[in-house]
Amino acid sequence: MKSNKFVFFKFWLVVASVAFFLLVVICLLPHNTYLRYKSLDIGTYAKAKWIYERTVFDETPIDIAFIGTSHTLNSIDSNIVEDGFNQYYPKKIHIVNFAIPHFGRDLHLVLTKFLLVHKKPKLLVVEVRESEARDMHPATHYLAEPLDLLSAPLFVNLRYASNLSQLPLRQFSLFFKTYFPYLFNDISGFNRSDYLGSHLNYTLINSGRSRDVTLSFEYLQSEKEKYNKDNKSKLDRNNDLKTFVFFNANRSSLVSLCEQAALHNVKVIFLYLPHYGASGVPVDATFYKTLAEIITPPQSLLSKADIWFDFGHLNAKGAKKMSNWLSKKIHKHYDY
Amino acid sequence: MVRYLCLFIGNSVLLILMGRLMLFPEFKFVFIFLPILGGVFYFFYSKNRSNYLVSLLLIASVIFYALPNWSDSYIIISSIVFNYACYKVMHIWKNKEKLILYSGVAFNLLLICYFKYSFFIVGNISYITGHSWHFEKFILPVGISFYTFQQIAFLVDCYRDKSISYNFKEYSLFVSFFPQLIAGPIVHHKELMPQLMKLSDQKISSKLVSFGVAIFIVGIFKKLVLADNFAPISDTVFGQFNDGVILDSMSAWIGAVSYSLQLYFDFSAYSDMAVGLGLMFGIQLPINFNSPYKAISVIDFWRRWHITLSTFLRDYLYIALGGNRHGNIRRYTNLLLTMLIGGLWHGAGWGFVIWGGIHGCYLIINHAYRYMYKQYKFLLLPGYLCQVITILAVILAWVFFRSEDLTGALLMIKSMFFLGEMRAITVWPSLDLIFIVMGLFTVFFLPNTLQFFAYKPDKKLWYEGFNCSMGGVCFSKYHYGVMLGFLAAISLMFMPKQTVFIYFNF
Repeated sequence: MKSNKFVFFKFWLVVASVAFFLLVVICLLPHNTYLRYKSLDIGTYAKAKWIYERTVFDETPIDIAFIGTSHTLNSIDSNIVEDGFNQYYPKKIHIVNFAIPHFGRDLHLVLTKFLLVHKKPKLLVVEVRESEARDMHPATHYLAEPLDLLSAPLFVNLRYASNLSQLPLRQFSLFFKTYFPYLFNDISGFNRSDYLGSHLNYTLINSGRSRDVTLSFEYLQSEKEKYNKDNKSKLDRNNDLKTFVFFNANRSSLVSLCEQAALHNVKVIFLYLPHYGASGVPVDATFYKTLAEIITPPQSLLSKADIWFDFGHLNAKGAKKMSNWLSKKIHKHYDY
Repeated sequence: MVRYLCLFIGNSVLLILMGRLMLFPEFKFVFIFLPILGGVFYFFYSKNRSNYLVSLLLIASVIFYALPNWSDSYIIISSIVFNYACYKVMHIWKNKEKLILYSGVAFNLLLICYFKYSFFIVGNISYITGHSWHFEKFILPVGISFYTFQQIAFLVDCYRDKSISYNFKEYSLFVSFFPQLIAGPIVHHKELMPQLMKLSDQKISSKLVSFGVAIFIVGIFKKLVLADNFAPISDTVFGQFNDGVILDSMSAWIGAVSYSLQLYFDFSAYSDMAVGLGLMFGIQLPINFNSPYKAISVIDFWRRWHITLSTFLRDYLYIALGGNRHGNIRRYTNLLLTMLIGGLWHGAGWGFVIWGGIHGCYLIINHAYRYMYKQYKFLLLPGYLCQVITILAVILAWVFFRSEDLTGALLMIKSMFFLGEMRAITVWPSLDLIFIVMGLFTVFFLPNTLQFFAYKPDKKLWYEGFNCSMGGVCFSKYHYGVMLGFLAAISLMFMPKQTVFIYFNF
């Protein structure tokens, strides 16, 4: 064997090129998207499967969709909003709640794109909280198209590399599950008898726990103080550069979401669903206003202690109140 | 801007280093720790600052081990300092060498007993006496079994050989050298210290580093693609038996075989990675596995499985107990004792003791058979049959090693031999079965990693004499590059999955 360094350089170049090429090919492997949504089967995230079924297999139209986090998941009952809304309008409007726990605009963008490809909603109600988050959604890599992961905002996206690194195994495994299902025992297609229906809500019961729980005013106050202390840096935003460095990734995805909606002529409004005792206006309000209108629940509703399940989420009573309030409020924003 | 960027980068690096222990087949090790260390190492090496190399590797080992384990790091530090002090004092107080040796060995044994076995011992005493003594179970300090044995061997050898002379920096690196610190091989000081002492004169060629990287890639592949994919199969079966659920015979065999493959690929992968990493820094670590499942007897198995542990047990326990010097009865007793202690070394549990005992019995039977055969030319079995009997015996013993309790193990063994209730056959996914067949083919018919790379740690500059005509990996032939690229890609694909080495628990 030649002992010069060039032989080894060429050898390792071959190794790196083959590895890179193979990974790219794996990332491009086709698969059944339904299996991809089914693969997110962790806790309430498993709602992704229903979202797919509601969007693709259920022929009921979607006129209004809620996109958000656990705040929307636990605060908005699509049944109540739909019933309330339809009292004011002769033609039946169909409303869905596509919220999945955890903050991350990248997942909201993925779900919005998916929805817009398969259905023609007229209004998207996107949750905003007291502040955007620094981190992106931990489940995005389960649901996003490879290109969405690749074109995700880079600066400063704490999950960019990690999401991309998950891609080859996901694509590889979904490819085999799609085209060689007999190798796996537990792969099954859509079964209408298992379908949970046109509405899936967690406002009354979530994960087997009743949400009919109330907390004391003192407890909520102490939690609020703790939260404000722990999140001082996030809430105290007096520096544009800091906002850019820490929140650009989520903000960029939100802008993309609004652009996608605009491309499909779908109106977007923001629904402010903060934690208990938060300021009446989101920290990023100025930014949101450049994209869409914000609707804010009255403080008289949010400041009551008896409507909270925990510091961040409404209980069953709060969800009913919020959904009723919203059914009247949202009416003005729906383009008949 | 700079401030926030620095904050971000600083946070990231701290998070990476101070998180849980870095494992070799993880992104943060492969793409952050290793390139940084390699870069600095070769910078010093190329600038003829070789005198810094030992210090650099020591600092790297401290960062690797102590940063994520800072609360436990006092244990390894005190262990290194105490053992080195014993060695020094042994040289000064020449008339009290034996006392110092006993103190040193006692310290090491007490250390490992306290952190690893106290909960087990107190639990058993409580059970026997009927008292309910509470003793909090410690989280096992990572690598304690390995570095304790390594240092016991060092003290014993210092007592025997007065010419041993090492400085503290080199000794600390010998114990804490990060490739072998956590799960072995249990490196003997005579294998590693001469290399560390001459590290500054070591010729680290592209060829050596290439061998290191290639072996490391194969090790990662074995761990992430093979071992970690056998784990869910064996976990399912053992989990069911441990919960008292009896499965059919085929499932019991699938579970036992999967675990045997998982354990082999897991541990041998770690050893391969350790060897590969060592080579990247000019250090040749000993071979720890030599295709153990190809063994034709249990004696042969122990010459091929966890070789450095077997060697330690032979040299520092079996021979110290008298070995075969006092007749057959004493020899078999020593064998049994050695294997029982070897079993206990793996963990504080009766399953490990029973596993050690079973292997002790196997060895006794094996030696007795050999004796009978030599004496009376009695029953010569063909090689393939010996191999089948050996692997079956080894698989059966692994059931006790893996099971969480004796009841689960016995239920599984009964099921394997159709002795329990007959159950409906579980339909296993074809993928699992194909995977097991591939695993068996690999262990029985393919050369092992180090054979493939013609690795000979006992020969200095073995790699310089290596040429393409010898078989194995040849760096001037690109189909090997394509093959390694394939292994690297598949390994990278599995890298984001959470992983842990079985031997980290031992």
